[in-house]
Amino acid sequence: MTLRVAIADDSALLRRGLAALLEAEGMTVVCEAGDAGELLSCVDRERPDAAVVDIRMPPGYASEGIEAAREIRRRHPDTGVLLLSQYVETENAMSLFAGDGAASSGLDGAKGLGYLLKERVSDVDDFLDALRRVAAGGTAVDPDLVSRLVSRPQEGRQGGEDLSTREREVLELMAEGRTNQAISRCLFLGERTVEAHIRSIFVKFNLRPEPEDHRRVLAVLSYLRSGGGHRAAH
Amino acid sequence: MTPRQSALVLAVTAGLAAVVLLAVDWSPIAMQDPARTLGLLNAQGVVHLGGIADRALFGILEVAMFLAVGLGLVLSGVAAWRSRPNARPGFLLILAGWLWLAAGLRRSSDPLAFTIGVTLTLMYQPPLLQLALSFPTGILKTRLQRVAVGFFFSLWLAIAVANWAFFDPRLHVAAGESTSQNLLLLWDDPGLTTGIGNVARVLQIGVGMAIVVLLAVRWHAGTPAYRSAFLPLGFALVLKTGATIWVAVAVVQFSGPQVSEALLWQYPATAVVPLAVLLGLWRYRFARGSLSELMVEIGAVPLSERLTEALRKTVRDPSLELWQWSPQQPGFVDGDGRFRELPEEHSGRAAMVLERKGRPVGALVFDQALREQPALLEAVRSATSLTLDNRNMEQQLREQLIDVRRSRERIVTAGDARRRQLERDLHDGAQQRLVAVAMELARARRLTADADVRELIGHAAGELNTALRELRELARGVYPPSLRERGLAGSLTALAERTTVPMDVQVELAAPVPPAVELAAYFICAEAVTNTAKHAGATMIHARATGTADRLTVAVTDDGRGGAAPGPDGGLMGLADRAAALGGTLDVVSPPGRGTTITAVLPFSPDPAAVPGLPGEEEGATT
Repeated sequence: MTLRVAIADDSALLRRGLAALLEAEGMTVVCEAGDAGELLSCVDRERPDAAVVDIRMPPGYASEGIEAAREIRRRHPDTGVLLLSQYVETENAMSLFAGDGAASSGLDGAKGLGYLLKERVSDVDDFLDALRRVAAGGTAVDPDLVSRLVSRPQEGRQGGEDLSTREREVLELMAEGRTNQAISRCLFLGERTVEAHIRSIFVKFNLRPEPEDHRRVLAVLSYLRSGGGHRAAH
Repeated sequence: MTPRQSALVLAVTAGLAAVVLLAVDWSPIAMQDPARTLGLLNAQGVVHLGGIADRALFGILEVAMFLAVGLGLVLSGVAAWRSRPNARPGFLLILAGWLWLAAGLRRSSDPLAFTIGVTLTLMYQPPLLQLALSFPTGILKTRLQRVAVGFFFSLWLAIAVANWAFFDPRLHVAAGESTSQNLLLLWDDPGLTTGIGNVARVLQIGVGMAIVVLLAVRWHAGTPAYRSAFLPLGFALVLKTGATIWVAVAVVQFSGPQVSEALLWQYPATAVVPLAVLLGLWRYRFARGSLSELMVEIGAVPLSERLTEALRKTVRDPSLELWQWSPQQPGFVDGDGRFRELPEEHSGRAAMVLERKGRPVGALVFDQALREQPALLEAVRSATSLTLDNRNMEQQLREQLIDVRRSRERIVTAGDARRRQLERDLHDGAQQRLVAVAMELARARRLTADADVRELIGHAAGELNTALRELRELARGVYPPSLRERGLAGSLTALAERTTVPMDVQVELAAPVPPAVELAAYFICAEAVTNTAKHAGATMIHARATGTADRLTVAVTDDGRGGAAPGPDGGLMGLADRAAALGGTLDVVSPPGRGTTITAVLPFSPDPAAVPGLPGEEEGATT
């Protein structure tokens, strides 16, 4: 199956490089947009499987990509959006995943969305994996951001100190948006073991188990970001 | 008055007193001689006194009182001469004192000395009258005044000579005996003597009354400054004139010891005059004293109604005004902002233009009488010019301060703009290109089958990623991207996530915060958090940012070991500078063992043109 991808980045150099990379992997690049407006009209027209979008674009060079991603998710639920940025900030991730209305309409906010450091593209296999995941309605969260949250010191306890090392590894991969299958492959564990670890993590976090991957990503990120403790998920 | 002059005056006085003391004939017959009675010029009075058997004898007490009055006149004259720029009043007092002392020669048995003493008996009065008429300068201004004073001197001399030209005391003392030989005697004629005496008495009383009236008129028309200066002397002269009239009447009308008592009253009445002059001097010195207080006050207050009040008090002229020079429409402006013309000559008002570097800065307008106190005026002029100067410098300083603050703020703002630009250049330039290179490397790696090449490329990609990470941290230090994207709250949260010490963040902003203030607040928090993480050994950091409509307060508190101090090369000092550049403050409270709190207060104005934290530029309304 050939993945059809739209690219949006204000830097022509990166657009070209990215397009070349994706095409070399057999994907179809349907358009290379320089800003959010161009991207939206392209997506409307081409209905790609996924869009790779730079977060900082004209005119404000701040977080235009997030707005564009939300708009695409709203108009075309089948199109996944993978945001790229020179920086990954939790605030941006949360505003992307838990954006307007997402919090009240359940935890669907992270569905079909990804948020990665731009340089992740050089790890081509991981990048393509994330892109395919997003295109398929899954989630991709940058490992830097996740490990920052997981290892973030909390008042009264060091981050994740009540998790076993294994649980912590599972937690990080889970928060990155990987499936149980991917996690078990990554850690050379059986899927059942992974499921057990995940259940244990949710119990330790006092969170309700989430059946869907993108839901549990958001639940875990929200939990970590809110500073842990024994708060129930919203 | 030079020391030599003082010494000369005192030597003459001492010599005169010694001559008089040596001339006094202490024989019993001389002591009871009514013709030698001090202060008694009137021949009728001598005859009248000579008829009183129980009249008081001349004695030590009277000599002492006589000398005390003479010395009092001379000494207060010396003091007046010393303290006034104008020597005339002092000279008149000294002259009066000498004439008074010389009249003491009357107690001599030597005919010449006796005659001189008799003639000079009342001659001390004309100089005092001149002083009264010309007070406080001692200079006679009009021709009429000079004629009047000349008339006094001549009249008093004429009365003395006329009284004694036809009177031989040796023939007329009924009780006791007179041995005084009168050299002025032409022939003895009691009838003529009585007539002359009556005329002289009427003239003396008339002149005395005229002087009282004249002084009363002058007092009434006088300015407050004149009154203030003249008041003590005026009282003394009224008293003295009254006493003179009283003695002249008493000597003829009363009998027995009352006459002797009446004669003794002339001493205190005369002594009051130099005392009054000394009191006037004290008031003058007091005015100078309050002038030095004025200088102190001037140091503290701007040119204001208070200064004018102080000036008025100092020169005792409640009508004094201070006008300011208005360069825009050349002219003087009074306290109400009206343009005023300087008063004309002889209008009762006088003006003194205050200049600085040859240009007028203001004018003092005051009672004309103040001109008679040039030293005081000069001091007031200096004091007021100094104030105007101070005010001017203060104004310049304030303007410079505003300039410096604005320029410092501009420097910081320009620096911030450069930081933003640099971060953006890094983002759009080097970082993008390096990412692009990373992509190319990734593609190259996938295109080759050669394991060595793949490994080489993989290694290069790893290095590249490290470079990218370092570049990212560098760019974040230059300007935090989260500040642009998420504001202060977002960037502080991001800061908290990256910090190795647990940190909670609270941001409450009532109004939008200018970018420079936001950035300063972020850098202050970042530096504080870095310091805490590095040195404090803290387990918790609290960061609070509270914004009102015109100020942002950030406080970073930890529970570490404290003891932090802003050093000259430390980051805290740079942050204090940054806060100061925005007109704000940075405080570090860090007691050993009890944590550290860094608080910055950063004022801002919704109007970016205004500089916060400056005192009002329009204050100091002038009079």
